[in-house]
Amino acid sequence: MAASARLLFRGAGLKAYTANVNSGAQSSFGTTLLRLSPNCSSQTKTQIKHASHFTYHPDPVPTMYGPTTKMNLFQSVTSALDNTLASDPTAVIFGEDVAFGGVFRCTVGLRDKYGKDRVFNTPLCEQGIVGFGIGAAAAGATAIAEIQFADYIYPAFDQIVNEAAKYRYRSGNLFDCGNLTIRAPWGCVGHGSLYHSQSPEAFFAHCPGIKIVIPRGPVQCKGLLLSCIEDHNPCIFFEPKILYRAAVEQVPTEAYTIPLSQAEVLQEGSDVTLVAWGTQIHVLREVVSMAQEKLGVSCELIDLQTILPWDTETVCKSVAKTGRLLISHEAPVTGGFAAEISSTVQTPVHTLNQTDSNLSTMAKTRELCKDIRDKIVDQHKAGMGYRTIGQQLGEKATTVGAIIRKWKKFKKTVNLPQSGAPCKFSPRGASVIMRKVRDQPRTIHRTWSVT
Amino acid sequence: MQKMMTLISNVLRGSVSRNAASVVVSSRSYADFTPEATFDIKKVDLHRLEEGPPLTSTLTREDGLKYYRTMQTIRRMELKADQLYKQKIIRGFCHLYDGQEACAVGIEGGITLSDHLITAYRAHGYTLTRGGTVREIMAELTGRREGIAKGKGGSMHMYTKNFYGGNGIVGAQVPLGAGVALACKYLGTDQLCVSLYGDGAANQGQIFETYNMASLWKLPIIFICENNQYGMGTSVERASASTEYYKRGDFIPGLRVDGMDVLCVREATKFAADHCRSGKGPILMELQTYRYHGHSMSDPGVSYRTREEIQEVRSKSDPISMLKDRMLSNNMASVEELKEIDIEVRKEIEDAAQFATTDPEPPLDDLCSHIYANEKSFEVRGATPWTKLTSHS
Repeated sequence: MAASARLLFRGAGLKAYTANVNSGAQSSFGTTLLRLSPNCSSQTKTQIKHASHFTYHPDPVPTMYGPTTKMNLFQSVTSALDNTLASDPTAVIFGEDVAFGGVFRCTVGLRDKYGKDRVFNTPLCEQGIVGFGIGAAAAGATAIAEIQFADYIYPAFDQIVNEAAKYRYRSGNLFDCGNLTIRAPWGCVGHGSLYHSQSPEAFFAHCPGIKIVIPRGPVQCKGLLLSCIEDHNPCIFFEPKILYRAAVEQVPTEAYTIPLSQAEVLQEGSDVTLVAWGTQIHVLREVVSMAQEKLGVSCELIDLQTILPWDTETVCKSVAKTGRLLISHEAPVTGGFAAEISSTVQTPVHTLNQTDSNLSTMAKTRELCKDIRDKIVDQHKAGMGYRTIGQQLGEKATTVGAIIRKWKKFKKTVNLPQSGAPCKFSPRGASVIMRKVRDQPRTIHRTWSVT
Repeated sequence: MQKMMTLISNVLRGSVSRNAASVVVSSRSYADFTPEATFDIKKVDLHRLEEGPPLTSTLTREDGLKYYRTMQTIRRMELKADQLYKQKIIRGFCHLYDGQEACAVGIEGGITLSDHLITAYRAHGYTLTRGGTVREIMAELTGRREGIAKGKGGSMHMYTKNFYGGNGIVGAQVPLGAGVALACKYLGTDQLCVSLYGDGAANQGQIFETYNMASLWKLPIIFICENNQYGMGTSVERASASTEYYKRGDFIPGLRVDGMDVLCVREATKFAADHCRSGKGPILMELQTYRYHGHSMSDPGVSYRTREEIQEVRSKSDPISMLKDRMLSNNMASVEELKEIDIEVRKEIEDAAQFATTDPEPPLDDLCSHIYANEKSFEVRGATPWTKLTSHS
């Protein structure tokens, strides 16, 4: 599955980004990108070679976590699991073929070290594995389940979405399966074809209650995996299988955590924001250096790391700075996670701030707060004229007049809905109210009384 | 050059003697070969059945030669695939069937080509018995145009008429088989569906769901568990609480059959087919068999079992040797005749391998075709956003 990229131009409106990159790019940046693209002849060989090429870029040696040793991705997983089994007596690892070390050698040596009651094989039943894991986690064990390939996770989809994700919520926080972590090899590997190459993060992103994490290399992998295990929510940890052996870094031997839901800005830039996760980070690193070299374009590269819940702030701030966004991932384009990121980045601010939207942000019916209304009425009672009151409080005389008229008619300063014939709203007022109710269907009339 | 001349002269000499032998053979066949013989076969373990298949099986000479040829073809084809995989001409995944030939051939002997069959990923043998040719199969393995699935399916996704593959996800094919069986029942044809799965897949939940549906609606389905003792690298004792897979259907009657004896499998399949066709509903068969290769080409096959074990099975229970011994000891065929079949099979495989290596790959336009049906052509993103491929339906 080739990487799918979404190229966005902020402020250009909805139409621009759905246009072909071929034609829609009015800026010189867009067109030169085209010239940069490799010779896309229809020869099969050229396409194959292009799609599977990337160079691994190792992270710098981390200094704050203690002594380090050279590890590749699967060894960093083993190290993380080793640390966990050592420090947490309730930790258990299970899955298909994990006992001998796993088909990708992620659990080599753990059974010998910690015993067969802590590292054990399950039969071939993904739904059973995850269901069992949820139960074990709910009962207090730190359950680390392995699904042999992310492509096989679908029989367990019901358990993850309907059981694991909703356990805490439906029991009112009485029970939870936060001790559950599911690990699965993920992503393209070149020869995997239909059922050994999938990237299913988008399917699970649609499910609140779980966390999804994808590392880009061994240092991140160990830290993020340990964070997932520690996290009090069920987590799915996807490990890019093509990096299992290819990614080699100096990884700390002690346990350490890297915070979840924090995207990492790998390289600062000013012209375009590039967002990716997993293997694509390394592809984009190359893109960054190519763009700098050949086009003089400065790219800002962000590793999303946690897909759900994702770090909207970092990405939005970056796009606010650069004005352009490109997201690259391996999964199919339609409904892929890039769609979610791109739609969030383009959402207008006041809808994003829905939680703190009060009527002061409404368009025309900018209701004054109750204190000011009472003040107006008091001043009117004291005998001041509309214009004077308006000048004093900094409001228009017509507004003051309207408030006083309402007070005279209804004896109230608040706009409570009245029984009887409906009040007249201006069309704009009506559409604002409709939008609010559509977005938050449980809006009750009492909300409107807040001023 | 000298070597070539020697080879050619040997071949010619060989064919001359062969011609002579075949002349002799043909005159012999009318008089000297037994046209058919009855063999004792192993008793079958029964579950919820009063009677089982018969304890003897009659084999005619033609059938014997046919089974021998087919099993030998499967064997040589798998070995050739092994070779081509190691030469990196076949890529991706390759799950080999050698050792289990008696299952495919025996099952086919008990049903007809109008019945339906569905199996998991170890499907090369079934593709052949269900009407595929070696050429098509090998071309599919190498991913070429003339492959049985146009080169887009590969080892695990081969299909022929009434053969629904070839399925990569473990256990997923069994509910499909039940659906096919329902169609047979619904359409009123006297056909049934044979749904195969392995000892590893026998622990998948969907299989038990299928048992229930099939039994409830009395579907004409034969569940067959090909128990080759190892689910990838896990032996049956370590994977299953109950290794009596023929009893796992609980309310479904079951048979446990020696899967290395082609006659045993054939009789059991005939029995099972009669059971289904008479409207009694589903039946479960466990074939105890063995695979010589590892789970797939990336599995050496010796890290979870000993070489001695493989050797022992090969020497004592090899299906092809068993059939050969039976036929020779009962004078149903001559050694030369069987050797001749071997040579023909070898040649067929060589030709097919040659074809598979030289056939061109499918055109790039084919890459994205058949995503949807009957839609007008639409564009699919290629490897980059600027390359588009057309999807034809």
